[in-house]
Amino acid sequence: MINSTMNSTAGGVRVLLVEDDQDDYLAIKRIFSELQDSPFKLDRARGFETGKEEIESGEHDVYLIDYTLGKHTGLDLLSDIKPEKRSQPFILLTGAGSEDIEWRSIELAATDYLVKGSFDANLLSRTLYYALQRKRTEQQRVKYLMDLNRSKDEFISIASHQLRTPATGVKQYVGMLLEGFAGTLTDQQTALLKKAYESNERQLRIVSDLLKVAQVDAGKVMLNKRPVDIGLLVRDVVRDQAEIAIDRRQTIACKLPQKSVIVSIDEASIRMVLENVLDNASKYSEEDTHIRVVVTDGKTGVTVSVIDQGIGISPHGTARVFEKFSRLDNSLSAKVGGSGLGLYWAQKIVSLHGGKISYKANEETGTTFDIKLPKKNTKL
Amino acid sequence: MNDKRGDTMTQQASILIVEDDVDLNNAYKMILGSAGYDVTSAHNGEEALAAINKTGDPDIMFLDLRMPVMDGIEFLKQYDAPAHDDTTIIVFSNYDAQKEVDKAYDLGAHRYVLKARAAPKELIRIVQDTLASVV
Repeated sequence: MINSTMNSTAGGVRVLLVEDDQDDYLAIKRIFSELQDSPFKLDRARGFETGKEEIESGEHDVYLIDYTLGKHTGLDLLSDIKPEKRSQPFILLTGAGSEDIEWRSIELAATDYLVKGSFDANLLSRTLYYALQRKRTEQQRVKYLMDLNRSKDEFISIASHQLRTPATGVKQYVGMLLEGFAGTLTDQQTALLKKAYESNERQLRIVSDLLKVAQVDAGKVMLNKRPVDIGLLVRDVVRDQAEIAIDRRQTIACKLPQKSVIVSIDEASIRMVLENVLDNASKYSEEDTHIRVVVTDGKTGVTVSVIDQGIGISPHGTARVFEKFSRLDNSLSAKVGGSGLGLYWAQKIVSLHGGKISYKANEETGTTFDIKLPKKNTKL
Repeated sequence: MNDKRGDTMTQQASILIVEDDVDLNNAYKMILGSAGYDVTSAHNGEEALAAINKTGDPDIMFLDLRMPVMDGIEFLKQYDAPAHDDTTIIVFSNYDAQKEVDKAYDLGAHRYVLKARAAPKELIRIVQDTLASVV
């Protein structure tokens, strides 16, 4: 029966028995010898250490582990084997009436258990066969899920590409009109086109935010850390954002430490975090207000504080600031029209750097966001 | 097209746009053409190779990644970018899968710009900055 159903390799199915008792080993060997035309080839490890070495070498197809192994137990052996070395099935050999042990063995990912002295050749072969088959099914399922995950990632990348392309066309042609490629526009034409341009920009930002969040949620963000002068980076971001703020009749200034502060960061990601927080500060502030960006050098880390004179965050909105798709209700939220993903993503990125992002908000005086980044590879 | 990048100070810089989307291709041609550059366009890697064969290496190439017939990665392989170091290759794509972008860098691309971020005046600024950095 076994031969007809077991899809064994050309060299047969290699079984390792981890058993320190000579009599028990001989008894089990005898049961194996009773199997007719058996595909199983039995090897033995005489104790805990040799068993562990053999298992980690990964040369066997299935493992039979005795519960009692000198000072140790089979459960100790199971918990000592790293998960990545557990690609083959484990079957624990227990004494009669050891329900607790049987239950714990299943918790430790043993595939099955056999009670010593109460199994014959048929039960042994059936248990081995089912253990191998279950492991194979599990491996197929893992492969299927990994393929599915890859397809999902690819789908997100392609979908974002497809969504961006027509919007990029709108950006170019409306941008050309606004830049005078088709002659001088009236004030009204300019105002209407600016609305169209801004709306399209919002759509592009939403697509980017969705892609970034999908990547961070899937653990696909690879940080390319290198030493960066945080003051220079902040100055650069502030300079770019100041141009946008002028359109909103706002001013932005930064205060940097006198000496360079070097942090190990993924510059592109942290740049986007700073842009995001600074853009929020501007969007949630009225015209004729001022934004300050202060870099403070501390013992273990550096803090970039973005301090605005905006509309603040109401107490009932504070719990949701870093939540996905959270949009807070305030006098400017309808006008701003964000995706509610920016701060969620920013928090994840800062956290991946071992840092923290927090805020203090006051509906009277505005909001301060603090982005703290560690100086070395430590968590703040 | 120019043989040396230094010449671009006295001549029109040459730009090759490799972009399969016809509307975007036309827009880039109009924007850069109106700024005074010598612009050639191709709609896939194969057309780009033919254009280079005919007119020589451009000073700057804007290269899309996802294109029919021959995509950007295959083009970079066939063009052998490191052997044409007079040309600055800017990967200009809306496909920002990190693996693909890294592959393009490995094959000799110099810079990656997300197309969706470049408004007309920014496109011209990219060209100006690139030319200024290589003179």
